[in-house]
Amino acid sequence: MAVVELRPPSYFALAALIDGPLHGYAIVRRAAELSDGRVRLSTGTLYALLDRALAESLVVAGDPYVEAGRQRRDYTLTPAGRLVLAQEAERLERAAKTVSGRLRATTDVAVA
Amino acid sequence: MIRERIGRAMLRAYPDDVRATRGEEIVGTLLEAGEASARAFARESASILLAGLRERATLVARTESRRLIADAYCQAAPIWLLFGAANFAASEQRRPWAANADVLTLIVLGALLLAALIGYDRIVGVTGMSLIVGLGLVMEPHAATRVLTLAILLVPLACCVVMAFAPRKGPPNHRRLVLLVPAIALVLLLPEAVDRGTALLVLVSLLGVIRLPIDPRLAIACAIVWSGLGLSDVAVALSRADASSGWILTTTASLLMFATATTRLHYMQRKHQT
Repeated sequence: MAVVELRPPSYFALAALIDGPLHGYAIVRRAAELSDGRVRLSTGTLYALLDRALAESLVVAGDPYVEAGRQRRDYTLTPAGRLVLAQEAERLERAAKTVSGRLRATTDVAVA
Repeated sequence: MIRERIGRAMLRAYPDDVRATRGEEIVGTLLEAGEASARAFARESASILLAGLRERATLVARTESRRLIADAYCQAAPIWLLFGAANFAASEQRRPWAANADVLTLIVLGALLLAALIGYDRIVGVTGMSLIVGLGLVMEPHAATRVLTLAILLVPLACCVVMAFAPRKGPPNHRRLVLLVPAIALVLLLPEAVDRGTALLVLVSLLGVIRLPIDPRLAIACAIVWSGLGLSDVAVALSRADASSGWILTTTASLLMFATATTRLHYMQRKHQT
């Protein structure tokens, strides 16, 4: 399977679905929560990235339903979506480790 | 309520199929996300406007070039007819094919224009082809004028052939008739001295340029019409051996629009692939 690189908005939007299916605006809120408020998805961005994720089968969309007078649809992460998310998390972890490792090594030198 | 109406208006930026399948859902999310303040609502509305236009551009970039060019030929037909009808109505007999001005011709032109605007491409194509071929046969048999006639009718004939054999996809759309309102207003309001057909064509070309970032088809359609005018102007200038410089304007406009529109299209397609 080709490695799909996720940009932060997609990464956190997909991550929002780890704990279970959510509707559009709930994804926006959860993504903001998970990213400490750094990722603020606009409605336009949200549906553009959901469209891409649907096309790549990273999520599936449920049937529309009406709640509080508004039409909604729940999105669920697929196994492929989980895998992509895991790969991206691992990549970020490695990248973070490399940098903090280098920083630590050079700090020791500087202190010594 | 007013917010919902604004949201729905912004939603029109999206292609029809997206609007049909998730329009309600997008508006719902927009209202919820913009609930906090007027500013948040404005920001969210702008975001769906931009996303919708981007979606349209992606749709165009994904379409085969051949289909896009065929669409442009189909779009060129109503522009051409509008140009012809405007000039005809103003009975400025500048172009030779408008020499025998009469009501019947205006009715035929008008009917074809309506049908082409709505999108009855096959009907317009076949009718137009028969008319053009018929006209070509009826025209004077002198060899010199035959070349002239051919030069004038070549581009409209090409439009008709494309419409007959490669009509636009999608159902006819009667709402496009609304476009006639500003066109008719312009024809009625312009001072006598102004060439109405050219004024309309310039206006449509401007629209084509405005649409370039999302959809270069209208600009290509205008380029096609300009090229037809250029060709006929060149032929007229050559046959009369006069020094009229109108052809420079029309051919330049055509080349410029072709170049700009195809450059934009290539850029969109390349960007979409990466």
